[in-house]
Amino acid sequence: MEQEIVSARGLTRKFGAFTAVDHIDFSVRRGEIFGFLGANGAGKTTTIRILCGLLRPTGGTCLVDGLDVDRQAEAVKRLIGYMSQRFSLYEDLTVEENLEFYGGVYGLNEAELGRRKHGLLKELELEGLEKRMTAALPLGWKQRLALGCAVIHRPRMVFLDEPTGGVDPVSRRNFWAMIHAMAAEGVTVFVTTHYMDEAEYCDRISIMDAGRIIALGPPSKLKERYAQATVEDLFSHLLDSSREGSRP
Amino acid sequence: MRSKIASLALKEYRHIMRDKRSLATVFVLPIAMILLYGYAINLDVKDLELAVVDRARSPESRLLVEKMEASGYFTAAAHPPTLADAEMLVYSRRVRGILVIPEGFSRDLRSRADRAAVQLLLDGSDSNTAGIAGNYFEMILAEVGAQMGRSTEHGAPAAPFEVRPRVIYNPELKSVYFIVPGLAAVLLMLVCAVMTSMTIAREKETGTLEQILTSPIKPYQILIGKVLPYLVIAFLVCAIIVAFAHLWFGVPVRGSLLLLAAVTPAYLFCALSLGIAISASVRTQQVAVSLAMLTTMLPSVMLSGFIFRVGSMPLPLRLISKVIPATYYLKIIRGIMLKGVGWEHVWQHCAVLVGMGLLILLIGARKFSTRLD
Repeated sequence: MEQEIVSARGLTRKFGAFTAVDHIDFSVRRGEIFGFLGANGAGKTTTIRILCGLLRPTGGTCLVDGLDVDRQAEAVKRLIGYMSQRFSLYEDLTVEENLEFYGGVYGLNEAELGRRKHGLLKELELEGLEKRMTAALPLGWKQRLALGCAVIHRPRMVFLDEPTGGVDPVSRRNFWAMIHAMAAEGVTVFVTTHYMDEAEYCDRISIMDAGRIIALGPPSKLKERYAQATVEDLFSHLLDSSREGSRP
Repeated sequence: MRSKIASLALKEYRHIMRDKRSLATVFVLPIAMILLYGYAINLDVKDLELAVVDRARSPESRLLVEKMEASGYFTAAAHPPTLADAEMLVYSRRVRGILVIPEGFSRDLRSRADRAAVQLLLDGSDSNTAGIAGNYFEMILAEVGAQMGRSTEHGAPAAPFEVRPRVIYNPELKSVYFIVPGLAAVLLMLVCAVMTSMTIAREKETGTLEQILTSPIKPYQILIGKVLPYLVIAFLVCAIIVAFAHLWFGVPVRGSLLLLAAVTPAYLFCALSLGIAISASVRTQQVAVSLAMLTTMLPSVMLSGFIFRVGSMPLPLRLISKVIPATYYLKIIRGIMLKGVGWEHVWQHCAVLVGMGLLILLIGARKFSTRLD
């Protein structure tokens, strides 16, 4: 098995005259937590959508587990899990029904679905809430349920698009503990965020601005290289120099 | 692979069952509409007030008025002395028409040489009622004429050629008989097209479609899974309408219910395809509903022959009616319920519906992809 689970080369996506993702190159190593940082509108969600086969790239190539996301989108979809920014849950279904639905859509059989459901409810600390209507759940619990729905089919890799948006700090820390537990089981995690402190939880991060990747590496190395104390400082520093550099 | 479709269908079923508003829309609306259309939109002519200007004042003229009143369709509400007085009554809308019996009425009847003429003036501002009333009146005249040993003005004086208009299939000309089965066509369109168009658009709005699209499920599985519960519901709605029509309004079921049940899916298929095509091309529920109403409900009510006869429409509208699925289903359901026709008279309509459905579905499937762009 090759070491890289994702490798993007010259990946580009344009919407009309606007270039959302501008010739980016990066790779994600098997089993790591890869953080995708950037301000809103930097191109994070577009990149994730291309990787999940939801959007076609305008240019460049991208392989996920050796499969071309553009030409072999269906095969890629079997290997990955995706949790969108909006916690795509059905509010009028119960916790259990949401899990069962997504399990069914991925073609899990009854026995496997039952096992997986119980395992996840325990891992995500949602036990006893099976029959609860999703609409009545606090945001932090919805977030955990959405994660459960995204990984119910045991994907090799999971894409989390701003999973901690709008959630309180305690829930965020709790959530990151769950992400780490998943990575420990060998699942590769690709996560976007605009909370700079969360970057510290990642093995490697890439910082995006205006559709381009302006830095990539382990957080500690990047801080060292640019002589910044925190990822937040690093981020502002990089953004300033990147924007100065692009000025004529 | 079937379990993916089943999961979607089960989820969709739960959505419907938990959304009390759409549940009400699906089951209460048809009954409310049947009652509304069955009673309020009544095209029947009953107790139509006429001013009778009887210049003959003979036993025969009195018999004619008597017969007319006994029919239940007309009442002699006034007996003004002159035509001018009668016209005033029409203007003030106290009567809806004028019956003029000329002085020579009895003489003409007896002489056998000439035709006995009467004049019926109807308030044309309600042309529908006027037209129907005119038909009723002719029937009454024919009856009176026969009783007096005379033909009506349609017939030659010679007895063998007496004209006796007779309405078949719906002899009482009850509009409920043709409105209520027609409602099935309109309501099924509502349930199938409008509700399915909303269900996919809703998932686009909440972002759950995005989540489904990242799974290996295929577009056709999504479409089938989403459509199945509505197909079942539409079938139930159809059964409710037919039962209501028959048991409440006494609409006859002269043909085979089995045949009706067997050909109804062709129409449902067509309507569901329309809903899918609409939802595949729009982003929000609101646009989906407006578009579905515009393309399905309005034409189904106005142009399919549900209320207004297609044959009386101008050519452009007649052509439009040919591409409205409800036009064909109306012929099928009215044919089976009222005339008792068999398969040989409905299969062409069925084929048109299936063909239309396939065409629309093809367009819809091209628009619906597993990607967001």
